[in-house]
Amino acid sequence: MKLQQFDRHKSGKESATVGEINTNVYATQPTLFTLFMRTFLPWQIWRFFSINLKMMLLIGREKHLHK
Amino acid sequence: MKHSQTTWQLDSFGNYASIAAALVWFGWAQGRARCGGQNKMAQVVVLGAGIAGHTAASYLRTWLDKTHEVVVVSPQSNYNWVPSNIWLGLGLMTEEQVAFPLAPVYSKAGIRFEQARAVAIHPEGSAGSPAPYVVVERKTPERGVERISIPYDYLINATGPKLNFEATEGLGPGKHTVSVCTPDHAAEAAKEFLALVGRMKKGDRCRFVVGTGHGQCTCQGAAFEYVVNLEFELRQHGVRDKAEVIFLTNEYELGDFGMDGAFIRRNGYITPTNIFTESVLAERDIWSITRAHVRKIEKGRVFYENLEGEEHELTFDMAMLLPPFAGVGLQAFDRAGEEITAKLFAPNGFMKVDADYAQKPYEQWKAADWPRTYQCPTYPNIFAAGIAFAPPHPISRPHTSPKGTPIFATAPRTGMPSATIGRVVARSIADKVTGKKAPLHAASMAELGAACVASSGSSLLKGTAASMTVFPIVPDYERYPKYGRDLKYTTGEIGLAGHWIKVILHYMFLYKARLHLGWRAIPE
Repeated sequence: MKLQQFDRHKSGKESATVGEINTNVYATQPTLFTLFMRTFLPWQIWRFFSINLKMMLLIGREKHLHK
Repeated sequence: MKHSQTTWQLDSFGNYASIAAALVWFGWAQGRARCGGQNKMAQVVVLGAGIAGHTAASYLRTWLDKTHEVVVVSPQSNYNWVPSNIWLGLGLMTEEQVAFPLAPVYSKAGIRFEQARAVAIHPEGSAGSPAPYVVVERKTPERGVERISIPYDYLINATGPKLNFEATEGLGPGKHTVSVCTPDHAAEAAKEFLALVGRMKKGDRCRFVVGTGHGQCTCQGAAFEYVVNLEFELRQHGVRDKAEVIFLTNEYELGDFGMDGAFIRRNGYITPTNIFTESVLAERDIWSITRAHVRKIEKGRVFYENLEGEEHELTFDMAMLLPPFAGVGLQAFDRAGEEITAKLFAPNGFMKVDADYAQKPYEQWKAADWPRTYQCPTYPNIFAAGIAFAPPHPISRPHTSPKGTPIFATAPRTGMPSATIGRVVARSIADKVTGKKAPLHAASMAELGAACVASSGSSLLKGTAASMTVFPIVPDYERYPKYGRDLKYTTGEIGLAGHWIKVILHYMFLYKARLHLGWRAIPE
């Protein structure tokens, strides 16, 4: 997708040599439920402990490999 | 009889005293033995007080008794927790919150601190003395700039990178772009960002370009975190609709992060990180330009070449573009004073260690090419830790434009691996100093994991973060044939929890770096 189509910025100054820019319109987007869960406290408290545990296991695995 | 009793008592006292003295001596000798019979005083010099150097010096001081000296040489007077510069660069934190003076911490810990810049290594000593030494340049109010020699028994090169802004014309603070590599740079970036927010509040439209300022940059993760934070702050200031935000990167695909991307286990799918990263940007309406080598920057205009060899340009109101890294330019000399820099350092200025530096095509790269002990092959009492060691090759597949310009992300070595390498190198040196007959300790990046939390916002309830863990950093296709990594430990998710972790890590690692009570219990 060419930038010129989206160029709402200083159109007079913009060069004609602007390259291709990805506006990421076809990328995967989260649903409303996913967005809700990202800030839903009980779920996030659980995720907090879960991510921490994962990081500790990762550190533990490193130490095991380097013994 | 009485006399003899007295004599006996005296003798007995003498015997007890002798036994007590012997026991005291024995205990002392045992203690010394436990410390490895550290009779000969050793001097360990650490060049650099960044994440790797500071970690190495702190552990060395703990593992070596006070008969040995640990010297840290750094041109910076402060320790900087670099990951939090992202927040500083948007005015969410102050310089005091991300940095602290090193001198009081080192003084309390018993580490000698020289605020100076290392200039040269003399690993064979000089014609007059075989003792190796480093030459450092320091500035004092009384004598101005002076060069002094610091002898060493063991040397750790943890100088970190030279921020090579010169590689791109017009790049960097004081020229046309800002950076978040140091607290000074980040504070300047924040000033510029907040000034533009003020303009947008008055109705102006602005364009922000964030990313990498050269085709051979690393640290895309930091640029990614900055762009996500910047977008979040624009929303917080209520001016998001007045801004265009563009992520400009040298990566072949988004989510490469200099480690050839990764596959992550997420929501029942094994997803490539480019999908994950693209989604994060799409959700925030951040546009992206990939495969770009920034060639030149003029005021408000960035000129770049893409992988097809096409030349393009883009206007901006504020650009935060990271520089490529190079070695700090240390030189090395032999005993006769002949320069041997090429023997110790790769052409990019990073130190050669126990890696396989043989040139080979991407398809033949192996996890085993990566260094394990970080020991210099020519001088075994020299080690390199953190960014200062020369990687054997990039991790990402190299690409070159038809004009011959290399455009790909180079290998990251910041944060978690830097600290781990610093600790491991310190352990190896401590063992050598104490005479322990043990092999050198190892921490290959092909056996190390990394956790990366790209968080936006700095308050506890408003931000979210993309949290990622990868294991190992360098993919190992022999051990993990399909994806190169262990998917049990290679994950990613977005949410408030990651943001809490980022905030906690900020305070926890600064606590650890200040060497407060129990600092060793905090992992690297």
